[in-house]
Amino acid sequence: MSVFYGYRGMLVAPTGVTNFASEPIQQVGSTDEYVITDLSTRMTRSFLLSATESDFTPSSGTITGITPEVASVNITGATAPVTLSSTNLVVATMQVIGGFHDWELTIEENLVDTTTFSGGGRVYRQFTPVVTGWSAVARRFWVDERFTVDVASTMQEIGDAPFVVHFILSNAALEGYRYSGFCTIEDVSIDEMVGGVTSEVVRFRGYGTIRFRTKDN
Amino acid sequence: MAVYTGTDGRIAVQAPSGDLTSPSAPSATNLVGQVTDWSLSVQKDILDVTALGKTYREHKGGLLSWTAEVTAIWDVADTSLNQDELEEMVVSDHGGTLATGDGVQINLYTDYTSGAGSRQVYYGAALVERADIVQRIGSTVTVRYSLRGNGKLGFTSTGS
Repeated sequence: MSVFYGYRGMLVAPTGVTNFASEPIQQVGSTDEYVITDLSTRMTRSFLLSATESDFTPSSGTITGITPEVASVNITGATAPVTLSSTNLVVATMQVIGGFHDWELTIEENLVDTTTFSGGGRVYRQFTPVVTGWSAVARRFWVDERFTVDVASTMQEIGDAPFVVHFILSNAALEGYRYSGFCTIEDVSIDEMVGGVTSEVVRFRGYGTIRFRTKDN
Repeated sequence: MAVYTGTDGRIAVQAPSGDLTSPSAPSATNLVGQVTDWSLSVQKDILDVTALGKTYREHKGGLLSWTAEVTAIWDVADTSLNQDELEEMVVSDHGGTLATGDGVQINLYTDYTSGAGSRQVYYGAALVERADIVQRIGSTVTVRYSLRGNGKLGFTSTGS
């Protein structure tokens, strides 16, 4: 039986942009997907929403797709070992956001009632899935307007462009389980109470797919 | 009078039969691991058929529907626990293989006695309408799946 202790969680968000300079990447099983070889680096990288295949150049093979949320590329015809370079500063460097003590991730699927005439007999409703969306709530002890002293931007300075957040259940040494997706900040609220600790609640609204990854991908 | 305790309960998943009006017989394989509780709710639409001249409202039963909730200690990465078969329907990149467009068939056991041929189980195809993954300091990571029944809910009782 496996349990994952809550205190090992982390939230990771972008703090800057960079280019890959011959970054070692490795194939995921027998698929065409290649991820950053070093797991700790992989868990602190993503691509900007504006990134395209033409921004990336592998040491061999041809890029056929990218998955920005998890900083991976699809390559055909590559010969190991493979490295990846990029231009146009579309790689986001990410850091742990300090002060958080819990997060809740909610993924919801819109179901449309598609029950039709049955001609008689007991009938149960039937449904068809349509669109999936996600959101998250995270709570932290408020320190200052910034996430940590090392984070360049405050929550309110990030702006309207969706950015990737990694909701990490366990760090690289413990399998690196995480959910990753683009999101925007929907709400930030700060509570100050006499006799209490100043606390902050941040609500994220997902933009596109939420992905689950482990140390293997 | 028989009493069933929580330790007798289980959940299993299987590929839906493709016929939402007649789900497949429940299979005891593909148990969903680390489940701490499940709940099942069945609802019937109540149609008001009160006509002029009546003093009291009159009703008829309409369509049936059902929902279920499953709470587990999270470990989607361990495919032997089959949590990925549920989460596959709402999160990309899981390796679940049982779900179709109709969902997965979920088998909710109130009495599961492995190997003794005794089963009390509700079963039917279901879609995951919502997944809540929660990580808090001082607790373990948990997941709660809110399921919406898609078609008939069956019940079977075998053995003694």
